[in-house]
Amino acid sequence: MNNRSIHLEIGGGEQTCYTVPIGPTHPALKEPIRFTFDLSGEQIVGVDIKPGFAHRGIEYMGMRRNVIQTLYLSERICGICSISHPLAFTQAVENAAGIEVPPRAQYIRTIIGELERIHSHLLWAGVGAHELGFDTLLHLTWNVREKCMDLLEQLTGNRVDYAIPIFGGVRRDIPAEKAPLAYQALEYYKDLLQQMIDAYLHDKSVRMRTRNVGVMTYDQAVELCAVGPTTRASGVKKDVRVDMPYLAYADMDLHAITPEDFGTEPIGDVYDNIIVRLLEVAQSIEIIEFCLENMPEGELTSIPKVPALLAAVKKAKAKGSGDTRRRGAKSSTTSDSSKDRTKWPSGRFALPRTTTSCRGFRSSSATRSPTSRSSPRRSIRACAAWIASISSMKPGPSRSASRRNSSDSLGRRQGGCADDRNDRERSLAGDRDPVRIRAPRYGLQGV
Amino acid sequence: MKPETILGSFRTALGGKLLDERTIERQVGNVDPQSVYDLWIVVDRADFRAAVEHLCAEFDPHLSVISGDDLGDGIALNYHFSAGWGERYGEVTFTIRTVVPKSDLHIPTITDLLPGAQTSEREKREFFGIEVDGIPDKRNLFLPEDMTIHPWRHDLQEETNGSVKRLVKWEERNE
Repeated sequence: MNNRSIHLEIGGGEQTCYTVPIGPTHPALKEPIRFTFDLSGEQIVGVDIKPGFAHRGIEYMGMRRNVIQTLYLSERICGICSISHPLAFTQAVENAAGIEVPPRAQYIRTIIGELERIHSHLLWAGVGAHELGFDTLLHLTWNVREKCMDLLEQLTGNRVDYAIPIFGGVRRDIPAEKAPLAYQALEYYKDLLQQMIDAYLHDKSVRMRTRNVGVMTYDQAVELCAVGPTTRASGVKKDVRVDMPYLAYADMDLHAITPEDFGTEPIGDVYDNIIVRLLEVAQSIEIIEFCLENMPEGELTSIPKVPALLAAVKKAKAKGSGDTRRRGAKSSTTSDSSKDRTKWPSGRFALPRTTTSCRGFRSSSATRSPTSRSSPRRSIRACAAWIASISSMKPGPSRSASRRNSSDSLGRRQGGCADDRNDRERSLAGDRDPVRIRAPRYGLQGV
Repeated sequence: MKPETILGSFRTALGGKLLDERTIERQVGNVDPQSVYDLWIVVDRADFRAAVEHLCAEFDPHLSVISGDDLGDGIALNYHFSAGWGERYGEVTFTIRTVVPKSDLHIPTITDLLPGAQTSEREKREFFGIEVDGIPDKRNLFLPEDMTIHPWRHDLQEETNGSVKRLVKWEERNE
């Protein structure tokens, strides 16, 4: 640690500023990155960030592979976001090559994407609690996150790297007999959400450590081109699901979640980030329910054969179709390549249609959980009302009520794993009893 | 935001400097299909800065990323902006494409107009070897600080491959 003097406006005069490097490897960091903080007392007044200590050269590798190989590579960019990168990549290739995606595949992609949003937000909230020094809350959050990971495993076969999207569709169906599992998980999170909001947003110590900490104002968020829940926490209503809908989002009536949905003025601090993430878990639940209820019947992919797919991409002359190096070498020697600078691949081509047909869930309502809602089509606008009802609720049950709950949850915990396994086996076999929605196995008595 | 609004504004502002423009319309939605638009314009490097200034002054844009493409004798830079966010179906992506010849790899910075562009500009600088004039931070962002090769350049692949091979060799020696 070295010190140096800089002029700071806070405190009105010259103050000593300390430079504290954290990383590239540090117990507080999950991945190698170096932060060099400028501190004045306990106030962070500046930071320099150096990522890239684990740079793997994925773009370089992708340049010398075909699109199918690069798809699997893109899935491994990040373990937490193992649908967002391949989804972006497949959509970019599909747009460039004019490949259509069947409606059912769009809905399946949306469901997996939203499940990932739930577990990613819970992971973020857990890490946040850990950095606050509130490890009980970390363990609670990561424990309930497991339900989502379990569901993803049951739907796709993997907890991470689901390998669901492929150019022109998806690789796996979500069959009707798996739907009760999804409904069960969604009900679990619905029951839990109020407790999570109590634990995070109505807790005095969390509020004291997060309010007015790490503030990014509205103007800063716009200038820095921030996206996602980070920018929505600053009150910027920017959500690509709303602004430029894609997949099944175009069939829903969504709105961008900001702290205003919780009834507070957006500040852009850590507390607002928690608000947005928890309310977005609620929004994801609604979106997944909508997709399950309105899942269209039809094909899973428009081009099921990989050689035909590669041929389709090559026909569009897209970069990464396997001839990158030859193309680069050729254009460096030809003098008229400048004429092609402004040209884009064009020409939509007819796509082979498959005969694969899958049933939608609407036709198989008998297998659905009886606790799920029965309306055939429901606007996601309902989400806004639900979120508003959550937000307006008073801080949760009293301590004595929590204790009563805790004895229940402890009682259930004793046979929890075996019960879970039996439930899962029964549901997979398709002869489920009427679904009994459990209360969360772990109460919040330790919080 | 209507795509014609943005393109019309640029036709007026840039006139003959607008080398090419393209509107790509896509249909989204299964129940009630709607159109979303991707706009592309091509400008010369000399007019690039004026184009971005006009965009920032008129449309309050968001910069998603800057992508690059090695064309052989030049590097095409695509600045992927979007305008009209905050409104359902209101967003239009707007890409400004310009080509930097390899004989003179310079492009003016836009960080004074949009500070969020700095990360992407630094990335293009280290991976393509393009000098971004006026960028406040010239250090490598993702690559090691002493690395001088540019991995995304097709004409420098031998150097990059040699670097990767040296790395593999070095790892084997340690085993």
